[in-house]
Amino acid sequence: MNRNTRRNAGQARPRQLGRLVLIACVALLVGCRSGNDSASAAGYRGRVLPIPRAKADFTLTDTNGNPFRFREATEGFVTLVFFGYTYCPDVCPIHMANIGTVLKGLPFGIRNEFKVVFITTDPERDTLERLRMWLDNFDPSFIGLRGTQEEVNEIAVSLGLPPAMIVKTEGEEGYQVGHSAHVIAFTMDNLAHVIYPFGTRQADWAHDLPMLVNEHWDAE
Amino acid sequence: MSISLRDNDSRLFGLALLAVVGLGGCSGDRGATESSLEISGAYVAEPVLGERAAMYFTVENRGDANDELMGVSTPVAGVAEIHHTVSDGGMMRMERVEAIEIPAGEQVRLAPGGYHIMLLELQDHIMPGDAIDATLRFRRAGEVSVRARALSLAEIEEVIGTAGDHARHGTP
Repeated sequence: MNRNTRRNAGQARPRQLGRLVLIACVALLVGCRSGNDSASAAGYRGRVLPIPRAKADFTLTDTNGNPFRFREATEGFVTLVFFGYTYCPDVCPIHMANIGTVLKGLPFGIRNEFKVVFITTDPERDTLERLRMWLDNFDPSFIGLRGTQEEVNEIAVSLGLPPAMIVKTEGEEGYQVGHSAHVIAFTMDNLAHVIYPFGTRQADWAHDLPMLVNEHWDAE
Repeated sequence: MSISLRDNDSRLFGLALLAVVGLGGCSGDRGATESSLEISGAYVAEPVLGERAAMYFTVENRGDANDELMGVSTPVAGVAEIHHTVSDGGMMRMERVEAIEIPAGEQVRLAPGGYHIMLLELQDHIMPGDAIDATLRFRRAGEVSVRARALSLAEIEEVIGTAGDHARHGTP
C-alpha cells in the first residue's frame, strides 16, 4: 500500500513538473502583457524612467482660488501631472481628453485613486475661471493650478521637465507658450516611474492606469 | 458656415469627399502642375472653448513639380494661420509659418503635434460631426476646395493613430 502510493507519486511527478512548467510559461506571458508583477516595469506602455523622479513640494492656487499644497493634497493618490495652457491647439486638449475618457470608463473604485493636475504655463491668459471652464470639458474633477511663470518654471524643472517658455510672435496670438509634451505619473510612493509622451493612446492609458494603482515598485 | 451632417447627410459628405479627390485626379489632362495635388483625410478638432480650432489634412503631390501651401480660408473662421508645433527636447511650442512645402512625389500630413491650420475668430459653433468647407491656396496648383469633418478630441487619436509620425517625441 505504502509502496504503491509512493510509486504513484513517483509516476505523477514528471506530469506535475510539465504542468508546472506550463503554468510558469503562461504566468510569464501574462506577466509580460499585463505587467502585474512590479518587477516587470517593461509591462508599461508609458516610458519607464531609469531614475524615478521625486514628487515636488510646492503650493499653487487651484481653480477655487485656494492654495493647493501639491504633495500633501496628492498623498495616497496616483497623480497625473501635465503642464500646458488652454490656448494650446492640440497636444494639451488631446492628452486631457484621452485621460478623461479612459478614467470615465474605469470602475469607480479605481477612478477614485487618481488625481489629475493641470498646471498652466500661461498664467497671463489662463485665469482661474478660464482654467476651470477648459478642464470641465474633460472632467470636472481635474485640478487646475496657476502660479507665476517663475514658480511654474521652477516646479517644471524640479520635476525634470523643460521650463515653460514664452515666445513672442507676430501672428494673431501675440505670443506663444511652450510646455512639456509629457504627462508625469506619480504613484503611491510619491515617485514618478513612468511618463507618457504625446501620442499615448486611450488603449495605452486603459492598460497602464489600473497598473499604476496597484504598483508598489518594491520588487525591483 | 458649418453644415450640419447628420443622418443621410453623412452619405453626402462621403460623396463630396470623393468628388474633391476625383477632381484632383481628373484635372490631369489640363496641365502637369494643376493635376498633381490630392487632398485627403481633412478634419477639424472640436474647439474646447469654442474660440479656436485646428484643421488637419494630408496633401499628396503626385506631380513632378514642388508646390507650397500658402494659405487657407474658410467661412467658419475670420482668420486661418498655418502653424507648426515644434518639439525640442520634450518641449513643445507653436510657431506660425508662412507656407508648407509640398515636395514633388511626397505626401505631407498635417497632424496634431506637427503642422495644423489654426482657425481663429470662429464665426460659428463647431460641433463634432459638422462639415467644414475650406479653400486651400497653393503656389502652383492654385485654389483647391476641401471639406473637413469636425471630430471630438477623444476621436482624434483614431485618425492619427496609424501615422505615428508625431507620436513619440524625445524624453525630456
